[in-house]
Amino acid sequence: MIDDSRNIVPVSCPRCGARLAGSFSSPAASLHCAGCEAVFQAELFPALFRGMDPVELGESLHRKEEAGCFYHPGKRAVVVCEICGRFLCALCNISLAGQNLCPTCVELGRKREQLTDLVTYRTLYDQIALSLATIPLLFIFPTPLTAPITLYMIVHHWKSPSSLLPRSRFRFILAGLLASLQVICWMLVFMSPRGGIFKAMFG
Amino acid sequence: MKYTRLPGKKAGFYRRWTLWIGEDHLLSVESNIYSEHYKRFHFKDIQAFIVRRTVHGLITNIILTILACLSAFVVVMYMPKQISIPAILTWAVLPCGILVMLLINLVKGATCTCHVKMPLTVHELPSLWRIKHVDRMLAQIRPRVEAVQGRLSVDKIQATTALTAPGPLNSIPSFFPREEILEYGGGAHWFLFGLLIVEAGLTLLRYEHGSLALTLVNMASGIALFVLIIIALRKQKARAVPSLAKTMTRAALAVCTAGYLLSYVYASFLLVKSRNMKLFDNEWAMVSALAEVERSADPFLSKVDVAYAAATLLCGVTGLLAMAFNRQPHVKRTG
Repeated sequence: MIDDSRNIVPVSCPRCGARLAGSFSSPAASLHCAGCEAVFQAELFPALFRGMDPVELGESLHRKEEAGCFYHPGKRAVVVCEICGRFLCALCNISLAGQNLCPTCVELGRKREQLTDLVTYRTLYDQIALSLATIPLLFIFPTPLTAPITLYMIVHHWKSPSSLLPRSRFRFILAGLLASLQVICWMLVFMSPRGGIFKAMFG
Repeated sequence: MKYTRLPGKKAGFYRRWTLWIGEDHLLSVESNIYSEHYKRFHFKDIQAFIVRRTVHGLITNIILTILACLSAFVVVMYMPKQISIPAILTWAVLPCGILVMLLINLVKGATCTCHVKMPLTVHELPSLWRIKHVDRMLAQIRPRVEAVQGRLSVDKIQATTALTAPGPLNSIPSFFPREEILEYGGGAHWFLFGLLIVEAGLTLLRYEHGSLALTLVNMASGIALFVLIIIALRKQKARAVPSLAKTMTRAALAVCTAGYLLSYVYASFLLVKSRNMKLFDNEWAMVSALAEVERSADPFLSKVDVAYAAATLLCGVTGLLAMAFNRQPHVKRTG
């Protein structure tokens, strides 16, 4: 006899937002949407049934000799910020990539892109430099302007943080070689003994 | 932090999505040419992966099969009888190319959408759009997540979740309503895609045998098309319509606008060129003069007509297939 009973899981349908239900014989289950009647395959993990972690508000100071939090002087300090050394209560402590940090250091680290765990966006300067060295080649005449810009960009952004993913500096090197070649070619054109284009243009 | 690439990749016009695995999290990367955007999903917080099979792969297979058959038919019918081997190879390039694309799509397997559920939100993982890739990704991720969270037993699921009585699924109360989904049978879309196919036929008929009656019918169908497109666009905004059908509706708007604008501007240019300015004072005379333009003899108009007919036919057939494969009652009102 087939057991037709279904368990409602705390997962909502990505299409319509209705709740999903299914019969379970393993954590990988077939779920049905009550709203749009779509069928899903789901792989469930224990975090789904764990509930939210309780917020630690921090203990109040019991004795005068106890160290207080830098931000909340009335609360007991439990850790030290690993960047600035400020005492922090349980509420102010932010655990990030195995470090205990204060909110100020986290904010500064995010702004200066020092905490890679908080980076959500990166500009690919090497790709920009390579495009700047190759695309104007199709039209030739913009290259006296774009080649020096490319070289400046390579020097300026050589140490700028690039992609979080594995990536070599090959694009920078290739862009540098191409831009240098363009600069050399234009120098040869302008400074040739016959005067080249320069002479033709200005007499 | 070192990242290792996981199976699956989705490439758009200028964007690309990939998925990477780090020490303690998954990293979904959306790259365009000059920048990358990251989303992190920590193993300790991942609650579930939700996968839904889609019909995109099947529809692509059907379209590619039709195109392969059509191109093979054209080659068999129009290829000269006695030609050299390089010429035969040139004729065979198109059908063989389509056949190779079909084979690649068949080997890649069925398509899907994959979402990851986190404590507060549900995120789509666009790079995982083939079931094969989802399976491979799960095989790599499962041990890592279980190492952090522990193993989930069926007993625990059954003990924690509410059990419903056997019966229709739509009796289960809805939860987390995101947006109101209104009742819609898809009528406007069905009519629109049907009319697109009719429009393709009418365009080809007018291309071969131009007449005043056909021009008028064509104009009427054009007006009807634009009205239907507007209705369909309005309807699909708050109703559950297959995403491919939505895309085809937008594509139909672009195709019809471009087609009609090009033919109108060029036909007007031809009328001006004929130096008969009286035509512009009389609408009926203008329509009659337009009907007399021999479209198949004009290289520009003939190309526009053929391209327009092909595009409308493709939109119509794809839209109809999308509607047919998603035929399910989207009639529940949530909230």
